[in-house]
Amino acid sequence: MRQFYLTPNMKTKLRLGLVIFLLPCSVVFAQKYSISGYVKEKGSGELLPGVTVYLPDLKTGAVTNTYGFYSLTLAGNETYDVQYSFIGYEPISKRLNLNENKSINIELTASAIALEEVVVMAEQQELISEKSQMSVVSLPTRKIQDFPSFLGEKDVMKTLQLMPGVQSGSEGSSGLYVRGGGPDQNLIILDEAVVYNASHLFGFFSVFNGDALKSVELYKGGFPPRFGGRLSSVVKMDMKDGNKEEVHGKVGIGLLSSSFMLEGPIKKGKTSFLVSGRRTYLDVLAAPFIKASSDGEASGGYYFYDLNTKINHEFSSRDKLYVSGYFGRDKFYAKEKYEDSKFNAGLGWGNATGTLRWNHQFNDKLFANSSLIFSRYSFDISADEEDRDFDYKLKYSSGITDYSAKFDLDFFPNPSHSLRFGLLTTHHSFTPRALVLRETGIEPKDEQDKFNSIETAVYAEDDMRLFNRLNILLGLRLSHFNYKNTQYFKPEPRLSMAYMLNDKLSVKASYASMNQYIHLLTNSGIGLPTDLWVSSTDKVKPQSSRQVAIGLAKDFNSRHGLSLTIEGYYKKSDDVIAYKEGATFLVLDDPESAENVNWEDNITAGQSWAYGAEVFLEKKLGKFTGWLGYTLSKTELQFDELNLGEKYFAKYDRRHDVSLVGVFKPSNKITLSGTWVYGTGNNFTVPTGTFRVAQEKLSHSFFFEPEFDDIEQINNFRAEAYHRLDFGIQFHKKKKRGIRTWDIGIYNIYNRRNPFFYYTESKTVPQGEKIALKKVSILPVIPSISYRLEF
Amino acid sequence: MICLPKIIFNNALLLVLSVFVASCVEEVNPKGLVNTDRKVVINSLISPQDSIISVEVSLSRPVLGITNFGADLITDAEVIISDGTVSNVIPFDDVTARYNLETDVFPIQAGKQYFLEVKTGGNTYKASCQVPETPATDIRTTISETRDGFRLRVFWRDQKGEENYYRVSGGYKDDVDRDRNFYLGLDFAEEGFKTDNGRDGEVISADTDILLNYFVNGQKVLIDSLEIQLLTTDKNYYEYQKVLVDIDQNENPFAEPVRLISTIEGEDALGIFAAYQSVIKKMKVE
Repeated sequence: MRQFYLTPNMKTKLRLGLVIFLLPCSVVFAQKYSISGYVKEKGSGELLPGVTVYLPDLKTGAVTNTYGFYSLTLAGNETYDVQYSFIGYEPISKRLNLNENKSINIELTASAIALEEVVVMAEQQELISEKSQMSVVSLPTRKIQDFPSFLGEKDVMKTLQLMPGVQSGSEGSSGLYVRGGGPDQNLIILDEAVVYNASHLFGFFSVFNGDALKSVELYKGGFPPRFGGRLSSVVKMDMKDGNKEEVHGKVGIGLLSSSFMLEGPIKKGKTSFLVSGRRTYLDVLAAPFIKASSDGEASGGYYFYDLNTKINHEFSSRDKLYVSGYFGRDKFYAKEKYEDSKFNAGLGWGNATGTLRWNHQFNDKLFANSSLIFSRYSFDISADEEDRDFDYKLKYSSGITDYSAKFDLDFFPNPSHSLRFGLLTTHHSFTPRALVLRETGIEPKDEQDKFNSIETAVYAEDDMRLFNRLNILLGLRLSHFNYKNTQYFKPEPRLSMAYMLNDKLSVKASYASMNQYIHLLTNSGIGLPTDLWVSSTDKVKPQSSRQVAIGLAKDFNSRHGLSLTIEGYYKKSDDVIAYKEGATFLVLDDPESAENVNWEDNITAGQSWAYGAEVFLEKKLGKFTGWLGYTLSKTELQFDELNLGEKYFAKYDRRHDVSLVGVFKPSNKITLSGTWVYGTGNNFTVPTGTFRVAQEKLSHSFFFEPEFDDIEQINNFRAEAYHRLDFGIQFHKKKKRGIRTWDIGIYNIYNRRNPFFYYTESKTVPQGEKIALKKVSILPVIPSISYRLEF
Repeated sequence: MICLPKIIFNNALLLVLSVFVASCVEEVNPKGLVNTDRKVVINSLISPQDSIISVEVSLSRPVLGITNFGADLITDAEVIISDGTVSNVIPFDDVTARYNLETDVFPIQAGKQYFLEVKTGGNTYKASCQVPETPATDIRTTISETRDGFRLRVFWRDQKGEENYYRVSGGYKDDVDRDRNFYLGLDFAEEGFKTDNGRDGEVISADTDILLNYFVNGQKVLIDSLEIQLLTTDKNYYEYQKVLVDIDQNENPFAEPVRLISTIEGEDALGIFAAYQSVIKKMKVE
């Protein structure tokens, strides 16, 4: 029989752990009572997460959770001032005598479009120096509308790219490169559901429609134990619940797409709904031209759409039910019709997610959320050809489908401790290839590769406030992955701490260990739909990383909401995956080529090192708001089977990255905005020359290209720096039916020709042959105009 | 089969990109493009079954700049082959623009190690290789009917106890050109590269699709005869040629870049010196 023994060292650790976790349960002498409740937006009933609930006398407080719930347990029979504040809302102060458990629900009024300068007492602000959490970015979704945008499409991911430590990949891409990690290492969750492919149109646009979102949070490091499953970042997005009091909506018309959002009560105060959609109409606009050029015989085009829906019902103040869903799809299509034949073909990809959540408040201190989650990403190609005596039908698809169950418990025993526990289990079903082929004269082909795995995690965390000056978030996540007979079990310790040097200045540190059990196979990193999610197997190990970060957070004592954060990080990742040299998973023009390719044989594992420093100076209040972000970073990779085993710089290793963002609202009629970004050029693999190869002496005719590129090093060539200035101006006017806004934007205002990629070309000139390096740039200066009406 | 997805993909992509992405291409001469010096490239593949030892010495061409045709060949190098005891100078041959030596003069033998030395531009470059011990034996072929047509399969027995690398290739003649003195190549693609890894001493096979008849100017043409050439190569030969075939097969612009191995020692040198044994089997197609 197997036995387990505890070594003296383990015993000490166990005791220490028990002490920390049992602290909240320690004997309390004075009678204690709780203040708890929900914070909502006045007028809509929308529950507000992240609201600061502050007790100035005690210099302590709480923050509302994702569902707007807060709880504070304090010594009884005393009088307290409680302040509720949230950026963009009028703060509220309450004075109360705590002689029993009190349930206090608060409604905060949104300050209209920066109309008056919001006067907030310094104490009431959300102070970054007081939070134990570091490396996190919260993006008020109302702000996303203020920034300049590409073709008028307000994009959450592109706004996040303006934060230090977060980089965009290639020009126009909405992928996030967080602290040296790739877009495959980001956990993107929308209402608890993982979104696998966050981009439309090869990454030019992200799938998130800001109209439907309530909050966006990005974690770059110091990950709380409640998150896991990816190495580099967590992007947590929550959809709006829908107005519980009256019907409101928004209509937007842009050059590329139109969108709408409608929310309102089904049963006033109890049940509400939200529907939000967007569709591009490039195909509709181009259709007459295509028809004309093909004598009416052909049509084709491209479109994408998004649809967000949500219904929620409040059974009582203690029980709430939410059902939400996201559906989005990109589609290319072509049709040709002739007298005796026709031809249809399509290429599509998209995500679908669904979440059913039930919030239950057991008592003043205990809050639970249970979720059932569905997520699917699929990619398909179809072709259909009918001739007089020939039929051909092809359907190829790949994708991933997840079913998850999640349970989270929030426990607020006293103001010094906020505990969270939870369990998440996901059944992944991978379909790397499914093929259905029908062709005249050939036996029908129905083939499908499918395999399943189960990913499970349990976590416990305690956000502690000790000795008035020290905030510690300590926790552990245990993750487990099962694929066929292969089991992986990994403990992931997490720690974040902040020590207040004075009222407005704190020093912070964090450590996070992360594991990633599913991998994205991508050739390009530009969000091609052929990107494929695959499981860890006995051959392909999970990717893992350890990140340490230290930093300073300073809130300035002013009315401007000015704050400064400086952070340094070091992240070491192991078993990260890459394609082997020359490998490619799926050739776009021949889906059947995937037939003989085993992806496990095509990838190789290696390690990466990322380190850097980030500076973030932000002004949150006043007529002029914005920030300056600067990142100094370095990312190196090493794979035994790549680059002859030598270390090399990552493609998006960027030494300097600067973003300047400014929004100016001189009156409630005008919003002016500008962003300037600068980044060291990306690395490309460019041959330094060409050379003659050895020709085989075969007895029959055989021909190869006689020359080969001389590649001295992967990513040997540093492209010229990337920089760009965007500008936007919005005119708002109050109309009878609501507020209308004209939004005029200019992308890349000084028409910088930023490099997109390079290639070599050889051509014959009178003196001989010339090989030249060509730079391709896209997205020159692009103006746009859009219209929206909010009612 | 028509590559339908390619058509649709290209057309639709072009349409989208042209509408809102005006791409611009310009020639650049970046300073950052390191080391544009020309490198010495030495290539030679030797075999006991070959009548000559042939060595090509050339210069690589820098990515930026102009070169004259043919100017990249080095004709005045001193090229020496040796088996460790006997050595021979390989003279330059103007006709083939290579350094050639007949194997009657300097025989290449199974299992033996050979050394190549090239002196040019004041530098000396060295390389060595070992000829595989045993050629493949028991070569058989089958042709079977499949859903889509016919499949040619080549079988052979691996030599037990040796680490072996194989290169399979072949050609065909049809009944119209049966007197032609060469065979047209059959495309084995990646299937043309096999190792005995995990199947030492066993029968190994490689296959390729084959057309047994086709139409030329409305006239039906039948395949008349086949030729299979099976090379037993050293590891470097295998890895080098496999990369070339893979690259040739794969035109995906998003495929990862490849660094081709070099077995030449010496500063700024590229190229390969490798060895193989060759067996050819000819057969009539009934």
